[in-house]
Amino acid sequence: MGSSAFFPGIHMKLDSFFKAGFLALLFTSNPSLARDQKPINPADMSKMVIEQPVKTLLRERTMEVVPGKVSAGLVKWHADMKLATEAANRSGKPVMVFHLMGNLDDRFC
Amino acid sequence: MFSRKDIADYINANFEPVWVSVRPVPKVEIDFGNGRKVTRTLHGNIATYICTSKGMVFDILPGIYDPAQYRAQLQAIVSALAQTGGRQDAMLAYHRQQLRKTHEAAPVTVPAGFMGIYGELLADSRINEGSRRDLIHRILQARPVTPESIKIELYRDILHADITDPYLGVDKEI
Repeated sequence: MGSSAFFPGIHMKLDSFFKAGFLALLFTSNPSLARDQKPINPADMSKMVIEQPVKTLLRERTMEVVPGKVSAGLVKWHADMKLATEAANRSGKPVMVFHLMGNLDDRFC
Repeated sequence: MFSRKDIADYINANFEPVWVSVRPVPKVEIDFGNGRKVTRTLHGNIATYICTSKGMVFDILPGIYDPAQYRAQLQAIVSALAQTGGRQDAMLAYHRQQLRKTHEAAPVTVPAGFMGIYGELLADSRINEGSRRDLIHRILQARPVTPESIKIELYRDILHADITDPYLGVDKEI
């Protein structure tokens, strides 16, 4: 801003003034914004700084969890005994069979 | 147990693993009457079978173990199985040999403040190694079995959870 050369203290104030004015114009005079969004209460601006990133995170980075199902751990389980024994014949490793009540990928087992 | 990287890495490197459900697990729901409920499993138990590539049982770890014991026993069994070369006579001899030994759980240092549930795991491990493994060796020294052919006897006589009983023996306790 040219005026800052002669009035250094004014630079920041002018900058803030123009920003506030721009925001006021943006949120009160833009017809599409008026149609699509509620006018934003200036008192809510700080809340948006916190909430918007969290909502974005939830929308983009979470998955629906099937009720009652959990991961069966880090072991690479074969789907059944037949597949396990076939793999054992190829690899030479013994088969480990884990018997339990319920299912290992149920929340309660 | 299987969410621990050290245990899972060991199993993935040394076995072809598979889990099999022997029956649905009984559940108990406690309704506190204020909208709060707690759901717990009742009377569950587990068994880990180490089998040849033909699906014949070489050895069994009955019940729940603390992680250190579980891994130590799996290692010992893998080593013993390798020494048999897969021969049936050598596998039966292994079990006769185990019966002649006194079994003790390997000493484990429990981290300070973890004695509660860890203490119970250690106690379970001692029972498993002390009396249950001997019962298993008696069965396995006499005849070759598969997990499917022995599971009813194992659960009923060694794990004390008769999976053929719809009430798992609980009705006698109530």
